[in-house]
Amino acid sequence: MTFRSLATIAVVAFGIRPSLSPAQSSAQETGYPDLLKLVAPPLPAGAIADRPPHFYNPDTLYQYMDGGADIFVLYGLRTLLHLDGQAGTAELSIDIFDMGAADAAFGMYAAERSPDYHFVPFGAEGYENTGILNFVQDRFYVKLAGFGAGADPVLETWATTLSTRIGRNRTLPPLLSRLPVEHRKEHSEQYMAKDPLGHPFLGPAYLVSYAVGSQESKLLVTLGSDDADAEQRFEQLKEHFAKTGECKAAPEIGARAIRASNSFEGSVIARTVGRYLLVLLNPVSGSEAILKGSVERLQ
Amino acid sequence: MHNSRREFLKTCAKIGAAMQLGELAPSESLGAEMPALSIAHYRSSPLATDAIAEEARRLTQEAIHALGGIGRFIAKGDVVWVKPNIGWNRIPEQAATTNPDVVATLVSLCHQAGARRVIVSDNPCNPPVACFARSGIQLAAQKAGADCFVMDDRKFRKTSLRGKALPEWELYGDALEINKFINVPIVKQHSSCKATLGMKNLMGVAGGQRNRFHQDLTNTLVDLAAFIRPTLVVMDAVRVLTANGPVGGNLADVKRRDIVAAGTDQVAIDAYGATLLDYKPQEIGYVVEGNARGLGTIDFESLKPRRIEL
Repeated sequence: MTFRSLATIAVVAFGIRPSLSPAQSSAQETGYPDLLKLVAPPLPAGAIADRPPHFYNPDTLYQYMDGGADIFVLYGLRTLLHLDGQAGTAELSIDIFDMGAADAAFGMYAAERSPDYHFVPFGAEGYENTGILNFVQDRFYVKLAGFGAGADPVLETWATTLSTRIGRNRTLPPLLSRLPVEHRKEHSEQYMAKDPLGHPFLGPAYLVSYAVGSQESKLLVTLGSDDADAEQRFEQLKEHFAKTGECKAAPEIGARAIRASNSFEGSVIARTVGRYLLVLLNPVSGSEAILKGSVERLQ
Repeated sequence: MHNSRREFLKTCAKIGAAMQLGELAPSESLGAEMPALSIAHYRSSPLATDAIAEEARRLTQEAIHALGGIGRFIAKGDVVWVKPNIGWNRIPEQAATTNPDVVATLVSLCHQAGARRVIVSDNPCNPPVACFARSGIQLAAQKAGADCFVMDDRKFRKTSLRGKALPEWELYGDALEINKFINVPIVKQHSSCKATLGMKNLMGVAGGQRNRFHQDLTNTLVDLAAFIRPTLVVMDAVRVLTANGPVGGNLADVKRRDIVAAGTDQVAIDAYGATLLDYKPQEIGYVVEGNARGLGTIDFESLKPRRIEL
């Protein structure tokens, strides 16, 4: 089925006002086939759309989300598909964010989640509460809202259907499964596209929290493009600590590892492994094994 | 002697007016300076919908009463704009929009004071019709006798603000033709500027490409605040949104504070509001800038706020 016919079906199915605004018409005809496929008829749970979906890009997202748009743009949003509809007595608000890449979608999802949410097995991971269900899968971050009687089961049906239609990649970013599991704080993982800890040379990176006893350490894993890139970033990290605090070799951690501290980041231990730069923030007794374990698992 | 007699007659008139409005507490001293900030707090945190509604009403009434009553701010014949946050397609429990019972209580109080017309409106980010209905504000405001309407895009007028960031901007025409403006924000975390409070709530009077505000949000908000200069700010903190603002949606991000604050110093009340989200006032850029420009004081405790426990 061609995109044009998909788009035509979408317009007929949503069927609504005889005249679309010029912006909406052009969006239907010129782009977003991957998003439109996700809301092709029949809509989940027998829903009927109030009007055709509206699309927002990084320049127009503010019209829909005001200051809430900043973080989505920071994470590299490509397009938001927004759809309002009804399923029985439930009113629905459907937002599907195409974040351009799976890392970015996870990053955006993780930025909005809290470890104490109620997590549900939709997509790679999701959470729900009364009237909302959000999940991440592949490059899509899906936010579903429902109002009125029976809304919550409708949202679950929508999540199941959308996940099926997205199809691929129902797992969290592969790197996370390669990091130590012991002592890891569940649902604490984050992805920072730019400037982790305020340093451009540390991004992009994953950040994972570990609890050893009553103390918490955080493992930052910077993604270099290759081994040489990771080494260069490591040199910049050493230089930063040498200028702002202290930095010395830590052979007990590994060849070329460092132990450093300053008043901004506190204490850290760090080393490279392959294309990754590993930085353990606030290393405490027992948590150094986290860094060593990460090295073993990433080699 | 002549001045003393004139002052005496003025004082008698005030007593008479206040007694008619029923707003004068027996312990009020009319010779004393009127407070600039009041904070009403409910000791319990009821769960039932009706009980929360009653809480919101009582807190609003008491917060206004502690400032001297609505008659201090609204006069017979006034046209009043009560400006809540109706920005999002959310139910009241999600704390993305102002509590509808706070809004309705204010509308009623304005009418009691003799207001000729009370407008309730906002320029939302989400689809307006859904926001006005879902927030519960449209129904509550109209029941209380307000003129509650979705804004007409054609009524925004280019207005000279002479601000640092905004030399001019489109503001809603009706907002420029009123006597009194009551700003009614809800306290929310904001992913871009840390907190959305009173001065941030004034964005709802503006039209145009508001995304441009984010190029210099601090100065933009203070420019708006300096131009509009609300008669009164009534800050809804019955529920506050502690994460993922301004849009919200997850009830897990909503916390009860059971507070309504009211004040005439828009910097001070925002400074207080920041603390309800565990921020220091100095962390909020537009609060710092508002203080620096002399729009109010960041040191809200210096105003010796009237605290009421219910």
